[in-house]
Amino acid sequence: MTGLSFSGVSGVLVLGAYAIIMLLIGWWAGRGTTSSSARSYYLAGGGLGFVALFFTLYATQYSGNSIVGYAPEAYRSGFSWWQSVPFMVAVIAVYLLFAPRLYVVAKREGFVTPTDWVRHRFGSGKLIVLVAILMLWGLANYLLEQLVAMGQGIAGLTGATIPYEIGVIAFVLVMLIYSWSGGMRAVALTDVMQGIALLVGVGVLLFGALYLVGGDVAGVTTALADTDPEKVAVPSTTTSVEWLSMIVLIGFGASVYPHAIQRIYAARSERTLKRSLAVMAWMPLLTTAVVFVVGIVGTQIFPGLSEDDSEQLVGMIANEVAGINLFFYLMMILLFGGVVAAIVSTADSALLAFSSVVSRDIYGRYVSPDAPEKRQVLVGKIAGIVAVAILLVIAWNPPGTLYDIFVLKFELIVQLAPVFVLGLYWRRMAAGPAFWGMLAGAVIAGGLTLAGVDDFGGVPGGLVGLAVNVVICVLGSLAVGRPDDHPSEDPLAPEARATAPAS
Amino acid sequence: MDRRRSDGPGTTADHSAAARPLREPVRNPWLWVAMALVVLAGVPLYLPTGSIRPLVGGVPYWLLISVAATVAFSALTCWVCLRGWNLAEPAEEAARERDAEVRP
Repeated sequence: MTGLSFSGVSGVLVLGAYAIIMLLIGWWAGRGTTSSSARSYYLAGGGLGFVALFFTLYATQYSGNSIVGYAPEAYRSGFSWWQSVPFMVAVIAVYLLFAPRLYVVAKREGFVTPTDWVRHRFGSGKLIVLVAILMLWGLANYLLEQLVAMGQGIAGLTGATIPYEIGVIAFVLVMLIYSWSGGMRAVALTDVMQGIALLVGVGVLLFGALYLVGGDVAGVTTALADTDPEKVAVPSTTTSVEWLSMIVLIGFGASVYPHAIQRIYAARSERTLKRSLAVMAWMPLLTTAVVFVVGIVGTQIFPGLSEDDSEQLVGMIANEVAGINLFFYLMMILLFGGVVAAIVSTADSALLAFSSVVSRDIYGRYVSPDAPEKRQVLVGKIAGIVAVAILLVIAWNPPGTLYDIFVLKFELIVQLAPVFVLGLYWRRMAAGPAFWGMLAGAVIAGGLTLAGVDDFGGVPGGLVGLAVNVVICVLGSLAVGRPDDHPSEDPLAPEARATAPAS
Repeated sequence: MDRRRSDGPGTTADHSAAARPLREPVRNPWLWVAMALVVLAGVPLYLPTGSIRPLVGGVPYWLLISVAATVAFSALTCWVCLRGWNLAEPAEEAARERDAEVRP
C-alpha cells in the first residue's frame, strides 16, 4: 500500500480525526472503571452487551489484513480464494464446540485469562507454562503483524506525508493511552467505531472496484475464464485439500486465540454471546466475500501484476477510484481510514490479552503471587508497553508477505485446541499427555515451518502437528487417566443443575 | 439429547429461553454431520479438476455450488447459535427477573 498519491493532507486529517475519536471513546469508557480489578480491566467486568460484544468480536477477528492481504490473494489464486469465506465461518462453528460450556464454567469460576481454564481443569504445572508461552508467542506475532500493517496503511493513506515509523508510533501511542485508561471497555467501545469504519471501508472498496469495470462482474469472470482459465477452473486436488485444511486450521486456531476466548468471558449473558455469534456467522459474506470479489475484479483492472506488485492491489484500485471525482476520492479516504481502524482494533485486543497473560499467569502466579490485584494489573500494562516497544523494533524490518506471517502464527496457536475442546468434555483427559501432545504438535509445526516444508499435499504443518497432538493426548490419557479423574463440567448433569443459582 | 427443564413454563406459545429445552450444541451429533456435509460440499474436491463450464451468469458452476454451500454453512451456524444453544439463559433470565422485582 505504499506510494499512494491520491491522498496526503486529507488523509492526515482523517487519521487525526480517527485518533481523536478513539481517545475520546477511551476516555469516556475509562470513567468509573476500577483498573485495580483484573476482571474489570481485562473483561469489562464481564458485562459487554450485544452491540459492544458483536463489534469487538468483528473488529478483532477481521484485521486490516482481511482487506489488504486477502484481495491480492484472490488476485493471484483466482476463485479458489473463495475459501476465505468458509474458513471465517468455521471460526464461529468451532466456537460452538466449546463456547457454550466454557461460558458457564468461566462465569461460575470467575476466569480472567484463557489459562485460568487450563489451571482449573488440569491443575498448576508445566502444562500451564507451555500454554502461556504459546499464547504469548501467538499474540506477539499477531501484534507484530498489525504493527507492520499499520505503518504501511498509514504511509499509504497519507501518500507518505506521514512516514511509516512516525505513523506507527503515533497510533500505537493512541492505542496504549485508551487501552491503559479503559481496558476492555475502551477496547470494545472503540471497536464499535472501528468495526463500522471497516464495514464502510469494505463497502466503498467494492463500490469503487465495480464502478471501474462498469458493474459488469459477469464480464470480468467470463474474460478471466478466457485469459486465465486456471484461476477460474476447479482447482487441483492439492489446492482443494489446502482449502479444506485452512477451514480446519483457521477454524480451530482463531477460535482459541486468547483474545477470542476472553470475549466469551466478557459477555454480559449467554443471550448476548449467542446473538453476537449468530450475526458473526454471516459477517464473512459481508467482508471476506466482498474482498474476494474486489480481488477478482482487480485481475481485469490491473492484469499481469507480479506477486510483489499484486500486494499493492488495494492501494492501486483505491488510487484509480479516487481519481474519478471528489466523491470517490472521499470514499477512498474512508476506506483507508477503515483499514487503519481495523488494524488498530485487532492490535489493541491482542495487546490487552497479552497484558492479561503476563499479569495473571506469569507475574501473579510465579513472580509475585502475593502481589495485590492492582499491582498485577499495573505490571500487565507495563509489560504490554515493553512488548510493543520490542515489536516495533522488529516491525521496522517486516518479514515476508503479510499472509505468510498470518499462517505461521496459526500453526502454533492451534495446538491449544485440544485442552479446550477435548478438556471440557472428556473427564479422562490427563495433564501429562496434554502437555506432551501440545509440545510435540508445536515442535512439529514450528520445525516444519523453519525447515521450509509448507505442507504435505496441501495439509499444512500445523495440522500435522495438531493430529500428532491429538493422538498423544488421547492415547496417553487412555493409558494414564481414569474415567473420573476430573469432576464433570456438564451443566446439564443433575448435580450441576441442583447447584445452579436459578434452576 | 435435549433435556427439558422440569420447571419451565413449557407452553407452545411461550418462546422465551426458559420455555425452550436446555440444549448444548455438542450433544447433537446430527448437527455436526450436517456441518461436515456443508463444509465438504463447498470444497470442490469431488468435481473434475480443470472444469469451468457451464457458466451461470458468467460464474463457473462449481463456484456457485461453493457459494451456496457457504451460505448454508453460515445459516446452519447462525441457527445453532439461536436455537441449538440454551444452557445458562433460563437461569440468567430468572435471576434478572428476581433482581427487577427486588429493585423496582
